[in-house]
Order: sequence, then structure tokens, then C-alpha cells
Amino acid sequence: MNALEQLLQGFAGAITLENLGWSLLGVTLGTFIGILPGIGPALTIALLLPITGYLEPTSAFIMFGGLYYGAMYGSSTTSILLNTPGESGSIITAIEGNMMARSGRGAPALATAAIGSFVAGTIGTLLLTFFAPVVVKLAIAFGPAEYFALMILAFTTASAMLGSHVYKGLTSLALGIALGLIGIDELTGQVRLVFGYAQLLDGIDLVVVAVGLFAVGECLYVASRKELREVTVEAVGGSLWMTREDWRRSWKPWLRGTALGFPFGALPAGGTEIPTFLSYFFEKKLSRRPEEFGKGAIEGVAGPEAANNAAVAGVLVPLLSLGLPTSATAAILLVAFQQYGLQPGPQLFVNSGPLVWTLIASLFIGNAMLLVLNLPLVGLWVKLLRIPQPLLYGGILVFSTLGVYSVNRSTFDLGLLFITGLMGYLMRRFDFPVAPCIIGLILGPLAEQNLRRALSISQGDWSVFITHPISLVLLILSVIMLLLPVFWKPRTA
Amino acid sequence: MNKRTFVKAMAAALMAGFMSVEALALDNLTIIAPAKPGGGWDQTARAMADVMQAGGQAKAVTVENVAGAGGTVGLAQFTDKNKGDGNALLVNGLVMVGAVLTNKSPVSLTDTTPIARLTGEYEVVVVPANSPHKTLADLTAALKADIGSVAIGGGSAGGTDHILAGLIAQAAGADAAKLNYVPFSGGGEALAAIMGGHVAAGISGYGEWEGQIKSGELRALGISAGAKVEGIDIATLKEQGVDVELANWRSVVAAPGITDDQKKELVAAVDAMHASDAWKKVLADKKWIDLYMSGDEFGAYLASENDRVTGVLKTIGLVQ
Amino acid sequence: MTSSSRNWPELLLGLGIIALGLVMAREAMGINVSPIYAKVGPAAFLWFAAGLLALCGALVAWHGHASPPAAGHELYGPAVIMAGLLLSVFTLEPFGFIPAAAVLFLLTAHGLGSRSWMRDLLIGVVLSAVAYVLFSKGLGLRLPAGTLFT
Repeated sequence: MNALEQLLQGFAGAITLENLGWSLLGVTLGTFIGILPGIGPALTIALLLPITGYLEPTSAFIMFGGLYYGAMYGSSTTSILLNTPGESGSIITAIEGNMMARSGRGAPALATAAIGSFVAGTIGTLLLTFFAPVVVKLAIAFGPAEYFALMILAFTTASAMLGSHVYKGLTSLALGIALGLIGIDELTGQVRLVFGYAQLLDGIDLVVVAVGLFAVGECLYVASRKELREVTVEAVGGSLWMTREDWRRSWKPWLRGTALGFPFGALPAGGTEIPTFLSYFFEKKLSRRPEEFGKGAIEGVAGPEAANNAAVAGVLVPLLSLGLPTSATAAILLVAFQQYGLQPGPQLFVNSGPLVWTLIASLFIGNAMLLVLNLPLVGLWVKLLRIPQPLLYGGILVFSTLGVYSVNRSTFDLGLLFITGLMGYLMRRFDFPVAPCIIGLILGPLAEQNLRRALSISQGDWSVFITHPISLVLLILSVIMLLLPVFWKPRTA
Repeated sequence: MNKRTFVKAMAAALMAGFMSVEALALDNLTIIAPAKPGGGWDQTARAMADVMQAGGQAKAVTVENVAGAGGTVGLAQFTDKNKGDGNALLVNGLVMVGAVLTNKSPVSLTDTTPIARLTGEYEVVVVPANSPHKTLADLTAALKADIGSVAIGGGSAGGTDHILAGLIAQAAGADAAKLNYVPFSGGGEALAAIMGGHVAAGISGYGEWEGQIKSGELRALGISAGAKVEGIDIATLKEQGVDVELANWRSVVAAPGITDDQKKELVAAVDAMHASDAWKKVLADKKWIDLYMSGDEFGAYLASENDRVTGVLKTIGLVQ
Repeated sequence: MTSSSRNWPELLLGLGIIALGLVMAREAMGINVSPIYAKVGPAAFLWFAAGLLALCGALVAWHGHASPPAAGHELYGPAVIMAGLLLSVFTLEPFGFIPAAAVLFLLTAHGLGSRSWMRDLLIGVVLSAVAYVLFSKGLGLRLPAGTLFT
């Protein structure tokens, strides 16, 4: 039986009233937890694990799958409208998305995110169906040397976000790298920059920094500027729907974002964040109007949103076919499989084929369900912006506090939120871009660990980075990316 | 829903069977899992809560997660906030012994009141399917010849995997101080590095890699148990001439400064929990190996493990 | 160039960033693990970050020295909101989520120019209570109920 027939049988299994109900519950719950910073799919599925004692495995996984996609979705809504990313995968979305929302283009921004997520999720799930074995080989081909080269490539994307004063962008990047060094060094167990606080040993949670820099920083800045306080954001200016021009500018970024996101999700150290940086970088470089970036370019929403959803599909490839969890959520899903006595891996497709194919089919359904549920709600979401600013920001801070506290159930994290919020305020006050700080925080530790792992394996021989073919290609690409702007000017000035 | 009725029936039966225990049942027990929800310590805490509540060893049990730094954040908070509290338990294990040392934690497990060792898991040494090392002897020979060239991947620095790598190197007669151990953040990353042949060998808990071992993507060279484990077709390290035995055990301890009576009460409650059928079912369902040992016997064991781990970590240069 | 055209806040900010670099350098000096195989140890990236911060701080300070200050910033609003955040750090566990979050809401709204105390307090209490019930009952998240009165 080929993959297509099995998939069709999976659809037959998934389209029952009961399973559709679980899928609906999953995507709805996912959307809500996605909105909250700090409470993500990993934590929610962990909290829901006890239900595996009462539910059929098919129903449980259909719900978990819907929840995973739904969380990505909900998070982009708050990123765009409130500049408050709920998950780390939609931090980049906040940059252009929020600019669009402020100029009255919130609805098209939400729409391009929704449709882009749907397109990417669907293509990603299709790739999962038919190309899982190939992608798995790629995932395993990446060792520490390849990861280090990949991180170097990803660092070049920061150049698209440095802003008008390069030294200010670099400062932001350096601050992010410094924040990333806090805690126990993975490779030697050595404690760094902890200053006696045990709560810092595991490092600073990315969510805390993102919420501090974006939501709290923004709130403080608005409070400091009278003219910003009195501005009433035009909730809906112009069309509520995407114009023909919006479609024309969105479809390529959706596809490119998908192409970047899917393989990254499948990489054991990939994640949903890095492909969003890369997507943003490419969209800015490829755009005929790079000057619109930073002021609300729709490509900067469409690409990263597609990338993070495709990455979610990518995460499932190594999980299902190798039993290899590549994200926190995947690790919890693995526990869920084991609760049912199922061991993901090659045998899963053989022993529990119907379950796997029903799960994959339900991902298609969940994706479609999200689109159907959310597109009509776009108009409603945008009305959030009509709430008077004092009340809107009051609400944002209440939910940020709730989310950040829940990450570790620790008021220490609220103290960190205060500090990073102050940092975010100062960065806005002195016109420093915020995004490079997040990039430094995510990429810094990955680059450091993989550099040192690679050198440990090679016993100190630096040549591994050029003798490994994948690593060499990635490094050459990085050099090209950096030099490109020098030799090749965009078609329009 | 059958399971729920089953558990209820079981609970009723247990209530009747343990009337004497119920007489001294703990009122409001708090079990602290020093990790995020979903992991081994969290699952242990939640399973204990379910079984003890159903079995009547405690009237109400709450599980609290205090995650961070190999459990040392939870340990520090526990010894501080719960001092003298006879109604609190902390789940912990071998990993915490190592973490206390590598993180230079100001409090250690010897500051707590040992209650019982509950379960454990054995570690496996694996190589990729296409590795030139066909047997454990091949691997130890390679370690002896040039230890630096044999990169061994596993979990966090100073964790159980790292400790076992050090013990094996020592037992093989190699220079353990020069061990080339490469820590990876999650189980997934280490697994990928081994399957991709980026490191020569890998070490992890058996359960984590069971699927890959059974499907033949990884070749298991040995397991760290004392004797052959039922249902696991892997020769022990000892059988193959590497005199090392290591269990990644999980245990519970009580707060420092509790009275002898409080300690007795807690030990009795955990003893009763261990004896229950519900606990046996948990062990079978989760494939946890029963390594039960309680009271003073466990206290002595904890001290000896502490010494052994300190010794290894000093040898491999993680602890000065 | 007269001293009045100098952008003192930015100059100070630059010096602050240099100070952060020095903190990193001090930390790097305190690390004494010698990597046997990697040759790049836990201190290397600390040195790297320290150097980068010092360099950037110097650039920020220099530009601050040479550019005129920006105008139009008020401090009252941000100060009230920061006080609210700081207060929540210390009140969340003893008083519980609902009162702590309601006060944060009130102060944030005030910091952003609202002067309707009663309305803001009411909305704050309702919002916090709804969030509390939704997340603690619905999802089983353990939010602090307050330990002061129990």
C-alpha cells in the first residue's frame, strides 16, 4: 500500500464526529495558550498527559496535534496586534506585523499570517507524508560542525535587522549573546554570570526576555511619550481583507518560508525560531521595496509565519520516523506515545500504521479548521486595538505576568521581566533595535556549544569546519550573504 | 473508563487492607518534583501522589514542580522553606548528586533526611549500527589505545551518562582524566549525533533508546546492571569484564530537621505505598525497575553513592 | 562643541555598556577549566562578549558625545508602571494572583494617562479573576491564591 492510499484511509479514520470534536478542542485550546506568553504547547500537553489514561490514543494525538498548530496560530495574533509574542516562533512576526497593525493594516497582516500558516502547514504535512525518509537522513547528517556552520549562516541574518545605526544593532546583538551565556555551561558544568542566584543556573528563559523587551518595553516607552499616548490606532484602515496587491506580495514568501521552516523543524537543534530569522532576512533582501521593512512590509509577516508553521510539521518527521524529539513539545509527545506503550520509530509505521496515518490526516484537518475558524474572526480580533491604550496595556501586562510566572512558577522570573522590560524601554528610548538581541540570545548558545562540541570531537582540529562538506557549503553561503549587499544592489533604490 | 473503575475498586480494597496505616495517614502531603512537568522526577512524584492518595497513606497529596539546574534549585528551596516540615517529600536521584557537585550547590542531599530509594533505570552503552566497534572489548581497547579519539556522547556534564563514561574508562584501564565526553542538551540531540556517527559511542538510560536498539539503528554493547535484566537482551558490563555497575536511581527524601517520629511516619507511609498493588501496576506500566530500599539502609547507600560520584567527577576533572 | 550640545544620557549609556563588558571580563577571569580537547573553553565566549560590549559601548559613548540630545521624554508614566511591576514581584505570592494583578492593571492604566481610578480597579479585578479561574481551573495551572490569610 502506498503512502497516498494509507493517507486516504487515515482521513477515513480521522473524519468521525468524535475525532473532529477532539481536533476542534485541540485547536481552540491551542489558540488560547498561544496567545499567552510563557504557556506554550509543551507545558499544556504535559499538563494534559493524565488524560491519556482515559482517551483512545487516536483521539489524544489528534487533540495534541491540533493544539500544537493552534498555539503557533494564536501566538501570531498577539504578535501582530499587541507586539507581544506568545511563542518564540512568532517573535519576528511582531516586527513587521505590529507595524502593519499600527498603520491600520492589522486585518491583512492577520490574514496573511493565517493563510500563510495554512499553506505552510498543509505543504509541511504533505512533505511529512511523502518525504519523511529523506528529511530524516538530512537531520542525522547534521553533527556539531554542521550546526556551528548553520549558526554562522543564521547570524548573517541579523544584518537585516541591525537598523540604521549599525553600532546600535551590534550592541543589541552583543547584549543578547551576553544574556545567553548566563547559567551552567552545558559542556563543562561551569557556572557563568550567575552572581549567586540559583534561579539563574538554567539560564534566562527566552520567553521572559521576549515579553520584557517587546511587551513591557513598549508599554513603558508609550507611557514616556505624550504624543504616542494620545495617538488612537486606526483599527481598520482600508480593506479588511487582503487586496490583490497583498496576495501578489504574499504567496512567494509563504512558499519560501515553508521551504526554510520544514527542514529546520526536522533538525535536532533547529527549532521554530531560526527559520523565521532566515525567512525575514531573505524577504528583505529579495524585496523590491526593502525600505518598507521596519515600517510594515507584508512579506515580513507572510514569510516568517509560514516558516514557523512548516517547522512544526518538520518536528514531527524525526519524532514519528525515528523516535527523535527535536523540540520540547516533541519530547512531551514522545512521553505521550510511551504512555500508550507505543514507541515512535520505524516500527511505529509498521505496528501502528492506522494510528500514524490518522494522526497525519488529522493534522490536515486541524489546519483547515484553524483557517476556517480564524479568518472570520480577523475582524473581531482587530477590534482589540479599539480598546483604550491604558486598559489595553494594563491587560497585556496582567497576562504577561501570568504567563511569565507560569513558566517556572517563580517570582524571580517576574523580577527578570522587570529588568528586561527596563532594557526594552531604554533600547527604544535610545533607538536601539530589539530584534538582534533576541537573535543573539537564541543563536549565541547554540553556536558556542556546537563549536566546542565539534572541536572536542576533532580534538582541537579547526579544519573540521571545511572538511565536512555540508559545513563548508554553509560557511560559503554565509560569506556570500555578507558580501552580497556590497556587490549587488537591489533593483530599485 | 474501565481503568477508572479498576483504580477505584483497587483503592477501596487497599483502604480496607491498610486500616492500620490509615490511622497514621499523613494529612496534607506535598511532593516536590524538582523538574518541569513530564520528566522522570515529575512522573515519579505524580505516580506517588496517585498511589498514596488512593491507598490512604496520605489524605491529600499535592505535587509541586520547582525546576532548575539538575534539581538543585528545588533542593535548595526544599531545605530552606520546608525545614522541619514532616509533611513534605522531595523526589531526587543520582543526577542530583552529580548536579550538586558540578553546580557547587551550597546544599547537598546529605542535608536532607533520607526516606527511600524507589526505582531506577540502567544505562546502556551504544554505538552506531555501522561502527567498527563490534563488542564492548573493541570499545575498551580503543579507549585504552587513544582515549581522546573515542568521543562519547550523552547527557549533561556531570550527569549519570558522564559518570558511567568515567567509570568505564577507569575500569578499562584507560586514563579517565583524558576522557573525551561530549554532552548534548536533550536526548534527541545525543541520539542524532550517535546515529549520524558524529561521535564514536553514546551512553543513555535504556528506556530512552530502547526503540532504536530494537530496530537495529543502534548497537548496544552493554548495560550497567549488576545481573542480566529480565526482558532486556543485552549483556551486562560486568559479564564482559568491565567491573562497573550503575543504576540511575530515583528516591525521595524528607526535609532536614524533622523529628524521628516524623521520619518513621514518612518511611512507614512510603513502605506501605511500595507494598501496594497499585504501585506494582505503576512499575509495570512505566517499565520502572523496582530498587526499593528505605530508612537507614538507604541513608547509608546515599552516602556511599555520594562518595563514589565525587570520586569519579574528580578523576574526570569536572570537580576540583 | 559646547557641553550643552552633548547627549549626556547616551554618553552615560555607552559607559554603562562598557561596564557590562568589564563585568563579563571579570567573570571570564574567574573561570579555570582547562579544556583538554576543544581548546575553546567556557571562558572564550565570555571574552568575546566582553570585547564586543566594550567596543559597542565605546561607539555609543562616542556618538553620544557628538550628537545633540533627543527631547520629549516623560518619566512619570514609566516610573508608575515600573513600580507596579516591581510591586507584583513581591505581592504575587503573599497576596495571591487576583489582587496583585489588579493593582498592576490599575497602575499601568494610570501610567498611561488614565485617571478613572474606580473604573480601572473594577476592570482590573474582573480581568484578573476571570484569568485566574480560566487558567487555574480550566488548565490546572497552579497560580498563587495567596498565603497571607491562610
